[in-house]
Amino acid sequence: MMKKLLSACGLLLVCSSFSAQAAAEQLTGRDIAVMVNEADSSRDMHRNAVMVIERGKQKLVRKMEMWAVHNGGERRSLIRFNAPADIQDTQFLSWTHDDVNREDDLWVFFPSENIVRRISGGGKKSAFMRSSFALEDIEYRSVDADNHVFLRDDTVNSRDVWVIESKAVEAKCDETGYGRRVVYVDKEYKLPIKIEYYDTHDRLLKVMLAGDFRNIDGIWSAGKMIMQDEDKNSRTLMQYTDVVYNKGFDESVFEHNNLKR
Amino acid sequence: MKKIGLLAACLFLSGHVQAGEDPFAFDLTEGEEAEKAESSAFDYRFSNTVEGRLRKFTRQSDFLSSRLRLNSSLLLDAGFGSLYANGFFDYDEAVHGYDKRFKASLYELYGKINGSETGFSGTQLSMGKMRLSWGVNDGRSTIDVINATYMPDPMANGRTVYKWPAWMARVEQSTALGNLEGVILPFGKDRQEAEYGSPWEPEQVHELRTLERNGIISLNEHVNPRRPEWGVRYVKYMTGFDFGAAYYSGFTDQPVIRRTSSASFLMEPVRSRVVNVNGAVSLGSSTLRAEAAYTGDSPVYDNAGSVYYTDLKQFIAGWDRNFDNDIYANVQLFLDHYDNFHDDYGLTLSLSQKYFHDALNIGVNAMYGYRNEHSVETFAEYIVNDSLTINLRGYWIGGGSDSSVYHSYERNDYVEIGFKYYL
Repeated sequence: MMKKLLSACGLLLVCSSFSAQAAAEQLTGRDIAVMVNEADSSRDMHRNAVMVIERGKQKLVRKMEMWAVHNGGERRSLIRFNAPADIQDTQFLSWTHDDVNREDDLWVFFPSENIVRRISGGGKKSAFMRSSFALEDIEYRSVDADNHVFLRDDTVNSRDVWVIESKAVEAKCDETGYGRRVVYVDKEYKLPIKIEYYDTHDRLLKVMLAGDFRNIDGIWSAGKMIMQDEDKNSRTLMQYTDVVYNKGFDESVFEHNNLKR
Repeated sequence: MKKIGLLAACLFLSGHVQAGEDPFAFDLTEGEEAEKAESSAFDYRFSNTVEGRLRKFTRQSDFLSSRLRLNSSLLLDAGFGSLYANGFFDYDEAVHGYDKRFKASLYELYGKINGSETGFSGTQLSMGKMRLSWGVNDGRSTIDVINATYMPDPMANGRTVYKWPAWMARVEQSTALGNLEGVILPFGKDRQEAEYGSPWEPEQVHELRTLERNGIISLNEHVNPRRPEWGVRYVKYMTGFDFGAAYYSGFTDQPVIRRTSSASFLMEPVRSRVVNVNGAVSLGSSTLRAEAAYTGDSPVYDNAGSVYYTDLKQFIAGWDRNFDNDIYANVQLFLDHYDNFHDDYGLTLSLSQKYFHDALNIGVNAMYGYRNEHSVETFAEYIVNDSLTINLRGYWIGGGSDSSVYHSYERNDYVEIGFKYYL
């Protein structure tokens, strides 16, 4: 009897000790942002995407191909549009830097003039091919581009999440169209399953939901996304297919002289 | 095939997303896998558009254009390279007084070989009939000299001229130090001149052609000498800014008119060599662009209409920015300084705003230069859906000295209604 009592006391002591340790090791917003960043451990990635913009009764369809590569403190990505016809072969090449004091670089290839043209990183704020997404919503964003604050633990669709608030650091304010983002990070996938986007007047602009998570080559990835505008009768569905990580493709795909029809 | 895939995705979506409770119970890729299996070894794309435009002069009773165009393009992609062809078939009733009503044109036809697929990583080789634009400025560039202005219909918009592709070979090599590019046009530019009596025929050319038709003078129009032109370009793309330099040895965009005897005239382009440096810098939401160029022995006309040659130094500084994601502004200041001729200077402007989820774009493109040379275009473009775009335009052009083409075009103001339908 005495032995059982001592054992129970011992177990209680161990549990309370773990609990205290967990409280002491409470994750910060930045810790969670780092986890999200590291969830994609790939060196390179290739995928196809279909985007459907629903606007009232109207449906607009875009098809594109995407490449990305991590290169030291920099991530390069290329998006090439395959449909519809009026934007066919238009390409976006982006260099995103982990160093927040460096502005992101963005070039666009215009097929009608056969010209590659630099546009400012602030160009990522505009609507992405008339969708509810902005280019900045689907591009890589470095952890230190924002200050991250842990808000709470929560659940979304019965899944446990951490909720963090991310606000652009001063050096990056010109490159984002948002005042803040509230990010719901799935504790298992270590990826956002919901993001609320607020403008600089703290009005909710739109909400992104991510789903169809798959483990591809050991990397969790969202296969589908829905971006719902709050004040407009519009939403955009995005679906990724043929996702391949670490294929080791020729990096010349990111060369400017490859931006061609 | 791809269009069928997209249509299937739409139809599938319309019946699927709204019906299910799971927001992710949609599949946008219906039919796509089968399509890919078919085309994985050798991909192709065949696209067609029908375009129509009705242009009515505001200072003349006639129509400037009532063109209907079928535009077709074919892209073959075999992985190691690709082949692209684009051409159009026009019917324009309004031009019957001076040009053909029916016209078939090959616009572009070129092949490209990817070096990375053939063991030459970073090398690109392209050959064929191409439009190639160098320089960083838009609206006006000092090194956009490879293709000739398409004189039968020269105004692309209020601040840019329309250029016609030429046959060329182009090789590019990416290196750690930057991108090197060489281009050679074995037959030079392909100049297309405005027909006699066309509203876009420069006044001086019209006068000479009239005199020739009346048997008073002899006029030799040798506008395409078919002699080689070539150029090299270096571009370095860096974090925050791009830098480039280029040299082009070719012939002037348009022919120079010279008197060869008391009653004989020759219209022929002359050799022209341009050296250019350019740069573009991103600053927050803005981009700054600048170009400088030197052209030796550039042809100019004196008050008597005689041609002589003087060095030309050109400078352009530009700024563009997106405001609130919907408003776009682009301003360029330019200066053309001739050693022995009056300077030309002015600005180009583009200002536009988008509405209704970017479906409607309203704006103005303009150029204002020396001696009131101007062209101003106001436009409204509405994208009805992925297949149909309609537009309204107003265009005002004029000013300049007697030898200026703007002066020649001062009765060409027009309004336009047009559409483009993707089949």
